[in-house]
Amino acid sequence: MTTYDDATLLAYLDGELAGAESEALEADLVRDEKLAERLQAFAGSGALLRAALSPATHGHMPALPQPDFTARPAASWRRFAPYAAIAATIALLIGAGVGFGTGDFLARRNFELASEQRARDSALAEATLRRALETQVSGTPVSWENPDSGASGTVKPTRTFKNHNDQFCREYERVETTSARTETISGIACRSDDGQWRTRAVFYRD
Amino acid sequence: MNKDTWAAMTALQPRLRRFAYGLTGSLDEADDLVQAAYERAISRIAQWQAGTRLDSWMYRIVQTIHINRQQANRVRGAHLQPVDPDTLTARDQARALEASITLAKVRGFIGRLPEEQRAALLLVAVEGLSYRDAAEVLDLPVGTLTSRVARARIALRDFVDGSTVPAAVGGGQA
Repeated sequence: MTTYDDATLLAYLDGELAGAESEALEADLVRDEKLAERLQAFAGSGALLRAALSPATHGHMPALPQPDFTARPAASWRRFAPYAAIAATIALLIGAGVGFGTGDFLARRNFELASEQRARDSALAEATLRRALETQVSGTPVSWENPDSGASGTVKPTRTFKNHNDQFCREYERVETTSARTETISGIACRSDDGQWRTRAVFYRD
Repeated sequence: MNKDTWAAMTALQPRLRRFAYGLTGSLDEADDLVQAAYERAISRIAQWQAGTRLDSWMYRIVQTIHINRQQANRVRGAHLQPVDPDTLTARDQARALEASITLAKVRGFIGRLPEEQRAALLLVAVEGLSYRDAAEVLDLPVGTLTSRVARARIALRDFVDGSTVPAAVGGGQA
């Protein structure tokens, strides 16, 4: 019969044991009384722990400070990288390579409004990218959403390594969805000594 | 801050209060800590990423404020050593004579755990977070979190089993 260490029993109790391992343990629990007792000791002391702290969840809850619902959530994002937003707008304008007829005010205005939203999308995406690179472990995506434009995206660091300058670099994957399309971009960014992440390479994928 | 987010946030109050109670060992201090955490969460809501776990984010704020306060208190020379109920009141002692173990003694045990084991134990065994989520709240590798939780729970089991006062519950190890 398999012997189980305490760590394995605890992992089982916490639902952290993989399916097959968990089933094998359950089969042994039926046959092995000593094992069942060991598990019970952990389960029982855990229950006592929760009971000991349960007074905090009962009775009157103190009043909480109240938020200001009138503050626009989008406004707080504007603080992030206005330069990135401006740069993105310029990039869009250049990239689009569109010339306007002199009478085409309405088209231009619509284009500008759309550009502003796209600039905000890209500022959100950039801020999320920095945050993901700085704080997330590889494989964990961070998402963003711009309710005004309907665009959303995720950023997922996929690998971390050091370059020859001894800087930390991370590969990442960006998925961005607008009403028009979904775009997947892979990139590599390295962290400069000033703490800024600079993208070194970008690959557009379909 | 939108109203849905706020509704989700206020629904967390009992759980955050329980976590804070476990950290501080007193309901008054827990309420004070939770209050400060909500103030910070409101002012920094822009830092929370929609789609990520709000509860993890809030637990993290509670934990961070608690650690900062502990450090500040240490600097001022104040003593935040958790009170041992065995030496606290005659009433607790009398109760302890009657029952082999009391909930107050369990709280005393929590208070004597090393700080880093305490938070790990509370998040996993009381708040029900997965090892991964708890590790993220505490900014630890999952392996480190797992071993801290295991050490704390083995100590807890031994404490409950033997109903002995652990003289040296895992003090010192990382």
